[in-house]
Amino acid sequence: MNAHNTPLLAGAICGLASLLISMPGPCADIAVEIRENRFVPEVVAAEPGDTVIFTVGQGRHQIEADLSTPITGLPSNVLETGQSLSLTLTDPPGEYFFTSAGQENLRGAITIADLSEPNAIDNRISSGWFNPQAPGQGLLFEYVPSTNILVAYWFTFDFSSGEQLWLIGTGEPDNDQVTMEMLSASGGIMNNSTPVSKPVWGELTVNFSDCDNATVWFNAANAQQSGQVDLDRLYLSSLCEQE
Amino acid sequence: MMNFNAGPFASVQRSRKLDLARIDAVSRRTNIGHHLVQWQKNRAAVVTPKKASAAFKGMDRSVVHLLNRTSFGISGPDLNFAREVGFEGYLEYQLNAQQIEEQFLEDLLADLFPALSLSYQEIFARLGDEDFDPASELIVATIARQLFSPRQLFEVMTEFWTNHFNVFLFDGAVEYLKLVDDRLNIRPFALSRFSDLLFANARSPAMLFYLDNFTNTQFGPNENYARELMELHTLGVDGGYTENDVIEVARCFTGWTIDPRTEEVFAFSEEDHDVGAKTVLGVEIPAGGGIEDGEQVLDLLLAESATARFLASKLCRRFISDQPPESVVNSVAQAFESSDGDIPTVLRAVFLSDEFMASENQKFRRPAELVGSMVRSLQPTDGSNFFSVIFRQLDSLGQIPFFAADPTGYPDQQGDWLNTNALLSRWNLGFSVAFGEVPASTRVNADDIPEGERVPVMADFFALNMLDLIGPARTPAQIVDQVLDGVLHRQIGVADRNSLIALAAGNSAASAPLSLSAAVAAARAVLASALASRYFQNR
Repeated sequence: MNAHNTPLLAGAICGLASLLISMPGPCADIAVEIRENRFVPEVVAAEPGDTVIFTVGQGRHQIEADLSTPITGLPSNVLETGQSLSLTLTDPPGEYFFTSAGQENLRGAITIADLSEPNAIDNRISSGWFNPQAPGQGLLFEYVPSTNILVAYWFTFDFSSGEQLWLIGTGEPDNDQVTMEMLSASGGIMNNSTPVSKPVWGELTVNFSDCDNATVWFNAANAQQSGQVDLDRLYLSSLCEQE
Repeated sequence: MMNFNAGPFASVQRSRKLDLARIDAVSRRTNIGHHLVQWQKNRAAVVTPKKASAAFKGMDRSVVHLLNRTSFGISGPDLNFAREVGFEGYLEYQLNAQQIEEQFLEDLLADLFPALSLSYQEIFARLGDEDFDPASELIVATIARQLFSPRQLFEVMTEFWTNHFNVFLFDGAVEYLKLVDDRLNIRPFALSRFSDLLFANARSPAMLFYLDNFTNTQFGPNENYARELMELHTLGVDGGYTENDVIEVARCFTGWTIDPRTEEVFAFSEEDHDVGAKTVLGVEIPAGGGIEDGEQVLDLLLAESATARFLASKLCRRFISDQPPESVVNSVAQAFESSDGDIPTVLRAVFLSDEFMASENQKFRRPAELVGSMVRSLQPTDGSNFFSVIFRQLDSLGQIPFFAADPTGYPDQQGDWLNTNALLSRWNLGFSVAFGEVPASTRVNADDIPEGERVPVMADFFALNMLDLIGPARTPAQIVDQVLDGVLHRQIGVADRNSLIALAAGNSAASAPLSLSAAVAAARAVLASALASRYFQNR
């Protein structure tokens, strides 16, 4: 990001930034007011090349980025009431957090949208996937082209008992993401016709950011647990590089 | 009898009313809120800010239950510490309050509120000074301690005994007596022995004034203190005393009065004392006695089983349920008698009982605990203005410290606090705090907003750090779990959780990530509902 002192200059740079990072749409100016005890709005939803204009409405503030999400152009100088800072967004898509120095409870965020084409869900993702931080469990995903359905098998363990837990679900892809209801089969006997009950365990959403990385978010309704699992592909698929 | 309308009290107006503008002025002049929020933030950074694991959370309901009952609201750092040391470890930590470091807080309060350390005579010397407002300083300092002191059980017990030995702060001279009374007669003994409290309060100038014993002489008896001593301070209304006992006890306390010229202000006037023989609860007090007549009455009352039972019943109502089981009242009364009223011993009997463990969520949060929980759980981003919200909410819901007019003090049962108006006010407070950018209405001091500027909103006074509250949570289910963990610190029913997830999700799936701005908006809606829910309204 580039820091500027006036919106006029920021506007001039906006066009340049737009050229440099191949943005499709016109740049926007987005105002953020810094009040005594908060940023208004607290979250700025922006696109690459947009300009965020911070104006101090109350008090004096020095805007600084969180260490984990550095923002080009920050920290600012100390800004007195009425002064402004313009930031043209040139950092990659993602979430960026900032505070007012000395008042770490005053937090704000800028989200820079990812305007690239989303990764498609197709045969390439059919594989085993796992979280390297939690070995010994993982998921199998299988894409069925004829019905445009993704099937997920999750081999894991119960939250409290530690018993083996096998979940299965299906869903229709929406770009790079699928949400599916997950069922937990129980009550059956090996190779026997005894009816198996399949109560709903909860819900899973998986997003494939590319051919090798995915993220799962889950909601275990009855267990009242939710969470997120970052997944790596367990083994390479010959199809992965083809499309 | 001393003439109370002469000398240093000549300028005191009887029944001076509480004026919120006075309290605002004190908080604004000292910027107390800002100092406390900064201190709390620094303390939070020191006291184990790590998050408990999901598996651990499920196992510590008893710790959360203990904190809910022994504090004015659960703060993240205190909860993390309690999780580390466990139920009994945290109970012992709080019972040994003098070991808990809070010097910074007391230094800060002493610096901001010079009246807190003044003697009676130093206060009397400033009567009539327009800028001198010890009553408002005491109110603000008391709320500050309730909200921010790490000695939470000590502050809870201080409030309990303040209520037990209630005096109305704005009953004439009490306004200038209560501050020292609080410092000398309540706080030192909050976790000491009940006998210390009883003897100290019998000699308390504030109590002597409020219950009129300063006018009780052999020439003109006044039985107010004698009656409340037995009905409210010791035996209880069903404690077995008779109307004649009231008369006899009043005779024993003739001459216990106030002399503003003395350092202690308490005085015993021999010429006003009834030296005749008395009979109290069947025990003869021989003729010719002096101040020891009243002291003997206090000893007699302390030795009565009815006193132990009355105190046990009141403590169990405070900490367990509005109608505590007989079994636990009996065992707590036994602990009271066998320990000579040692308060930590009695509290152990309460908190380590099976009945306590089975009482989760059964007590309704009184206004002090409701507002305290919001501040302690959510921690406003900056404190310059948030005390304005606190005062007005406590005022509108009816629990400003030291403001109970009757000798019974503030009630401790749900029926006394829960009605349609109060519930609507409670819901509105939760919603306005959660959503922030809604008109502040009468809940804040609009005078703080410069003329000509926009209409004030709640967030101008009580802004939340929503980004830290939701942390990495982005899906509706994660947001609900994160918010509930932040303000309720425990799981709720499956159906209620599903309803909140549906509220957060709108047309999205429970497990599908939202954009950050949508996640924050969803979190505010969930927070508003959580604050209004019975899970937060109860403790």
